[in-house]
Amino acid sequence: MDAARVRAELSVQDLWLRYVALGGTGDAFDVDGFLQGLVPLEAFQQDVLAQTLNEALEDGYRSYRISLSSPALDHAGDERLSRIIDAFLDGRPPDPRTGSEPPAADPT
Amino acid sequence: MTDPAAGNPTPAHAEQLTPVPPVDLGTALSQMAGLVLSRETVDTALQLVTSLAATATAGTLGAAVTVVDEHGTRSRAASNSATEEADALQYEFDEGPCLTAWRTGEVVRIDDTTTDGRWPRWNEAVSLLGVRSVLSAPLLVGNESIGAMKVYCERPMNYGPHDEHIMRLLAAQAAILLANSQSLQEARRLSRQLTEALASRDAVARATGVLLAQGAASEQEAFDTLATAARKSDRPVLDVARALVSAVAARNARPASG
Repeated sequence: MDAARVRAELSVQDLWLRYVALGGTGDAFDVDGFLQGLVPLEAFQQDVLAQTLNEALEDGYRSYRISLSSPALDHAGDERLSRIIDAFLDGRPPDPRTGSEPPAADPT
Repeated sequence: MTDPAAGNPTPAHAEQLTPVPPVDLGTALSQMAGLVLSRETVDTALQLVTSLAATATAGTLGAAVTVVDEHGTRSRAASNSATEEADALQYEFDEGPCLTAWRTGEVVRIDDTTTDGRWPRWNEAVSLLGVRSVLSAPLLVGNESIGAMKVYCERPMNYGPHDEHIMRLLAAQAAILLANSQSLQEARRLSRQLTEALASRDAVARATGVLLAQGAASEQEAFDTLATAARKSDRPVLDVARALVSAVAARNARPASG
């Protein structure tokens, strides 16, 4: 994983900041220690860290990508995203126990 | 060469090599100390330092400050165009008293550019500009040299040990000031990054909350759902989170669409 960090050209400090931005709760020492294989990190935090690194790598990759003249790709991504979100909100009817939440999807 | 340094009240051309400079050092130094509290940008700091250096040494035609940061780039402020040109020549030739002062950490004095043999190319070029004597002091913060400040005069033999002393004092203050201005910029950059990180974190937390309300079993599961959606749509988690929260808010705004 530390190799990914180096590849993404991120300092531990910068990586930690991105990780915190995605909701990570470990401090910079936890992250650094985990990347060096010295301390364990709970599974949830590992997921957050993995996602952070993937996004950082993607950013780095994107900066090398040659853009096409038409921005069509971006719109496709937007549509896919909104379909996924609609699926979140429609596909899972809310549990009655959580009745105070999203009234839009609430049967009442 | 009759161009006096901006704001230079010294009657430079009237007096000849008087050993006592008409300078209020106390005012100059306290003005700099005040700047740390009231002004913030490096540019302002550089300008103040140059004009103070020009004021504090008798007979000075112009003053300039060079700051070399860790990337080797040089920012500079000069009190007039001749000074700026003389400085530019130093960078062009990569030789000259200020670069030497910066590299060695020692005060450098040139009594006459037409006879001094240490920087032959630069000396020749600036003597054509009308620069005859030069005094340059390094800007030292701890053991680190962050640049140099210098004063130029169009007469030879203008600067003596007394001026060296003044420049050393001024440079010590200027170095602290400049070092602080730079770390303030750094602090500002960091605080902006933190603010952005917190805003992103808020969005992710809200989206996680929405998914929990939708029946996700744990925060981890909610996060994994977001991450999966991010992967499928080729978007960062933050985008997914923001889109989800605004979609929920939009649905709530028109309750008929349940």
